[in-house]
Amino acid sequence: MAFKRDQKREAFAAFVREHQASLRSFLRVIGVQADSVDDLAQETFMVAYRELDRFDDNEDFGKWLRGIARNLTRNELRKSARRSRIMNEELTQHLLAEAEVDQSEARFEDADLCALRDCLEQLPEKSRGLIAGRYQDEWKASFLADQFQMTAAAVRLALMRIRRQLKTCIETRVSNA
Amino acid sequence: MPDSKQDEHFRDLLGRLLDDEPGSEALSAEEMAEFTTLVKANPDYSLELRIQLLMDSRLAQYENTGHDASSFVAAVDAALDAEADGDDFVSKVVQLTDERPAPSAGVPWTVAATSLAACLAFALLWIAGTGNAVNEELPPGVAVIESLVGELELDESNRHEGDSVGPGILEVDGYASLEFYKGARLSVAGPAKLELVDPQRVICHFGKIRANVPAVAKGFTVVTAESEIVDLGTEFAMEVGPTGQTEVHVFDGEVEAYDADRSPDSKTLLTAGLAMKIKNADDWEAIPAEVERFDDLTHIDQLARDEDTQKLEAWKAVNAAAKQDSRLIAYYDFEKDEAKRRTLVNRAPSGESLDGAIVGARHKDGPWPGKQSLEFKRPGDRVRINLPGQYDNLTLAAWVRIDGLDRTHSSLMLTDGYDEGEIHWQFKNDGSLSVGVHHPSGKHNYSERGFMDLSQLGTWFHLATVFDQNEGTLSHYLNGELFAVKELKGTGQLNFGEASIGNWDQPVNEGKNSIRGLNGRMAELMVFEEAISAEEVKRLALR
Repeated sequence: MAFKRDQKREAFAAFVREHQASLRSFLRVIGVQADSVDDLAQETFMVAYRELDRFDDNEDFGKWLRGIARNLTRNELRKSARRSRIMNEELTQHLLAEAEVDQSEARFEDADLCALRDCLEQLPEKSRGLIAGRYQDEWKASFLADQFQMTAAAVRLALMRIRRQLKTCIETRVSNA
Repeated sequence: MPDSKQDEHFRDLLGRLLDDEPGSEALSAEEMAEFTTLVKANPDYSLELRIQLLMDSRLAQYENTGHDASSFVAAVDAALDAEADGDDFVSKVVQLTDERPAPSAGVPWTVAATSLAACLAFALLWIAGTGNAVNEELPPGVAVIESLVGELELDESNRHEGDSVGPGILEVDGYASLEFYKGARLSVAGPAKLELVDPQRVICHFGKIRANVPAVAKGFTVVTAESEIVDLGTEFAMEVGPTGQTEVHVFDGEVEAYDADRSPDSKTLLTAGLAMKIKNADDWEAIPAEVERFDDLTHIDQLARDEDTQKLEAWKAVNAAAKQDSRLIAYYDFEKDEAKRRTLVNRAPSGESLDGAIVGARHKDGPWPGKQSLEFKRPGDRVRINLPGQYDNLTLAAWVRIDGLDRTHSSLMLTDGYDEGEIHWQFKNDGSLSVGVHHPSGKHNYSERGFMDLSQLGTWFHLATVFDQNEGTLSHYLNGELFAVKELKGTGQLNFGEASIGNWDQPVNEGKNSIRGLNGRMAELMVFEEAISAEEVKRLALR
């Protein structure tokens, strides 16, 4: 019995490693708050583990996970704004509907991760610094503004532009690979 | 077509939403609504938002060690372990259920025996139903307290917002809104006395209630002394007087009203806009529905928000006073310091030499909006501190939330090792609060049962432990109320030295009970070199 459970755990751990990055990005794109993405992703995997017997091997595991994630996110819609882990009820509803139509953003493979690393290395020093401050140190724009002697609005626009550039850069690299 | 001015406005809102305050606090409600409208109306904006969110998430995962792949995989693994280890905890909860105090006199013994048996049967069913899943989201109960302004008691014990409540007598003073497990929402204005029977059935002894019943919860029933109201998927309100006189007002959908015996002949259908006044079985009178009379019941969320704001203001006052209080050895308010992100700043006059170092733990929301906390989840999460000095008396006070009692012990604050004079402050997995003191005469463990049960997991509470060697007592306070007093079994000076919040370094015996990582959050920790008074504890707990 114990051996069987260990085997199940091992197989599942491999699934978690393979799908965690795409799943977390997916949750963010359907309108989950940044702080709550990891929590909901963990809950998704917990549900998946409990229901593993119902998973059909012929299906796409990633797709199945996204189905669970979507349901958990819909549950959040019912909660009062104060306690909810989503960005905003109406906005999240819209993003959920968009994700049903367009599933192209869902995948994030190892190749994308390598590409992201290369693209980050190519960034000018200041842009790299902004990204590091925002994501490694979790500083918000108003604080970064003081550090970089920019206005907060300029920091926000720069971050948006850099994220756009990185997206394009990754796509180019992956399609040329 | 969007114009450039509108583009600019959209980018301003989007930028603030993504890179200012976390979550949705960056935009006002109006701005958020405006942003949503823009996104829904313009496919380009919608796409831009999705791309920004996607890259936001990828960058967070790539750049931040707290969110990287291995941390996340380890967290899922730990959660699965906790679920597998759950058997122990569940069996202990059942033991606790068994050892409940005897019902008070006046309750017929048959009723008492039946309810105790039902309680046990429910606990057992629950275990059978969920296997070894302690982390299952729904502990035994019929409803969750969604918002609360005022006081709520279930079977004469105080319950708080976020708690699950089981079958029992519910008394509300103030306003409460409940979400039943089958989906019905019930708002209650006090003074009110209800009996929760199951997730679809409530007995209303007196009080004002308003029910919102979605289609999935059709059949939700409210019983009063003189009637039985069955909801057919709708919104209705009731006011029940002390003698059972009942008014039912239907605002939407349909409701079936019966007499108290639920005789089929008495069935009366009430549709939207209709109301009924029921004095007794023979005196039913149709009256027009009055929405305004129940308006207050639709604003409970707003009232709760107002109360949160008041709480934050009250806490700010406590915070400001504590910063000047020289009796504090250390005061950690757990607010993120932008300049020293991984430092737990000591706000007491003793200053930065007593700052703590955050290891692993991450900043999250605290007990009310606007207050931050640190979350301890993974085995390595902790805050390292070093508090010098020898003390005759001490007070430890903290805002704490326990998300799971996965280990035999869960650390609030434990000194490294367990040398003479040192203190261990922790929970045990049966829900008891355990204080270990290494007196010169020997190690003593002071344990208090019943601090926590499953239904309180995930709920914030204020906890204070007072060592008073002048009186020879050790007292514990829960949410500002005295919970227990114990006689100290030894004397001698107390000290900390190097210690961990939320974990244990240098366990005494490697192996058994050596892993004591906390699964939960802390939002404030005060360490006083004095035994503070009951009134003062109450003030710290914002009561």
